[in-house]
Amino acid sequence: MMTVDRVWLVGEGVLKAFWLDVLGRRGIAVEDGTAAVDGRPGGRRPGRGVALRSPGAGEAQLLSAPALIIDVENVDLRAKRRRLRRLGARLHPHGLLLTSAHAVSATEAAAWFGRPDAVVGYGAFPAYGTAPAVDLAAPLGADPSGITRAEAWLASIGVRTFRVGDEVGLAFPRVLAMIINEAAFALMEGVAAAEDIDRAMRLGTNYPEGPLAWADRIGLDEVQAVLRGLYRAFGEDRYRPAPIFRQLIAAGRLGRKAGHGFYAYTDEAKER
Amino acid sequence: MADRVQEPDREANKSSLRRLGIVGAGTMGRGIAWTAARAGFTVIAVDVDEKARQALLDHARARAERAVGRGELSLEAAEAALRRLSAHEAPEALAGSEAVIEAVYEAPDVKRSVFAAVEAAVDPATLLLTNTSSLSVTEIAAGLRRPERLVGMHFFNPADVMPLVEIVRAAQSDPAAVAAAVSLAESLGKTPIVVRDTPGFVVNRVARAYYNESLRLIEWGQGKPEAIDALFEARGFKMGPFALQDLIGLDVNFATTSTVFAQTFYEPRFRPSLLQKAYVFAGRLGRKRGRGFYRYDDR
Repeated sequence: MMTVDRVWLVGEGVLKAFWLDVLGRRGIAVEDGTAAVDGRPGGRRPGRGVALRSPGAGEAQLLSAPALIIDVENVDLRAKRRRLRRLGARLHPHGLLLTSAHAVSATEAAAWFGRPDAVVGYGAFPAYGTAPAVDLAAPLGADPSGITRAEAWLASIGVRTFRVGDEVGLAFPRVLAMIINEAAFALMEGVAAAEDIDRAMRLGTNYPEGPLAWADRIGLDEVQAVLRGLYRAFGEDRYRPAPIFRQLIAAGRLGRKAGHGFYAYTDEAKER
Repeated sequence: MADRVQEPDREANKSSLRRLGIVGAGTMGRGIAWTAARAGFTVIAVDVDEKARQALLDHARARAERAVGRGELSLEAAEAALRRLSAHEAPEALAGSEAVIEAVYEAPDVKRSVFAAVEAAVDPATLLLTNTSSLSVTEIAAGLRRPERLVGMHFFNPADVMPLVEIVRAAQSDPAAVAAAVSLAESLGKTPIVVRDTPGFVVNRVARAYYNESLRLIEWGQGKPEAIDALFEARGFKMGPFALQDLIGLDVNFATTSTVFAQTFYEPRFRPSLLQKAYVFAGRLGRKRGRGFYRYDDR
């Protein structure tokens, strides 16, 4: 099994918080891969792990090549593509790239990265299980040793893995985004109030959380990113995002992290 | 007319003065009748089928015994609840009810003919409720003499267990009737939510995505039902989408999707799954047939 004592985290969004939490609990050092690849400090400082380092040049850089890079970007796909194109040369020769497959497939991300055998796509959203869980998919045509190594490493740090076939959104993010999209359409069509839609899904069909409250926890931009990815990839009306997402996002109502999404939050609730 | 109409209640429960009519003694009617009797209502159940009437009374007795056995209800309270419940053949027995809940077969014509008989039997001010999961309440109301008195009241199966009730506001519904339906649902011990009359209301509409999109994943070869169910259950869903379809019945699930699809003038989000249809034709309907997405040997 691969031993990982440090990880480059690249990109911004809800999955950054997911990994910081998972890796922080295991004491794995997290380095700011966004700054490393963009050549400038990016995003906020990670909560735990070693201090940020600017990558050195030449030999020093090769020696410090990370064995594991985790890409979390779903919203800014141009930045994701630009970074993956640069990161192919930065990953250790025997390293792995875990790339979020919420808005593009693992196969597409692997084409940008240029080393498909080293790439594994994953999908995760904040959820209500007893342990963190991710969907995993190997890029089309990639050597299966990559996903096997990813599964072993994730199991060793207490993350449950579920292998699925590769497509945009994998399984859980795709289906949950579609549930949330339907709730959003129902809300904008005035079928019921937000609280009532959420209550209906919790009590009427036992969902662990109402879809609109769940969307606020994930971030509306992140939910829309999955839907846009599906719509762009498959070209079907079935996947078009409810227009209310575009409006709420434009108004800055991104969900809990912004203090306002489908619901308004007090400062205390934002932190949860 | 049956004899047990009103009797002085030892518990002086205020709601025992309230008389509730229920038309249709099928699965839903039975669950609603016991819920109402237990909540203290005097319940007048009506069904033309004698066997169904007997089944309704048997169901109530079985539920009462179970509740006593579990210590949820005293023997006296259970007997009082059963005394408040009576079953009748003719709709005339509904006279004097403050509200009538219709829970007959899910077809607009059938429901309209029932309401014609109910309207002839009750006071014009009586609140009329239709328990439907998939029909347009507006369409049913259009056949009534007093359409403004009709409100949808969607119970979930089993009706005496599931806490949610969707109160469906039709285009013609009087706001006072909607408010009365909300209040009645609360008196029955339920949690009501008000929804505008649109295909699938809230629960059956939003839940379509859980089934339809998961079906696509297996149609596209991205995973087997076991694997997909497991990854949802790991995220906090009580049952994965395929285990849940087996429980509901694939035929019922497919019919609901097909109805919502047709009623939305074929919105692509609701397009039914060919794979699910094939399973229905093949008789793999779920637990009730011993086989659906899974096999059930314990049947």
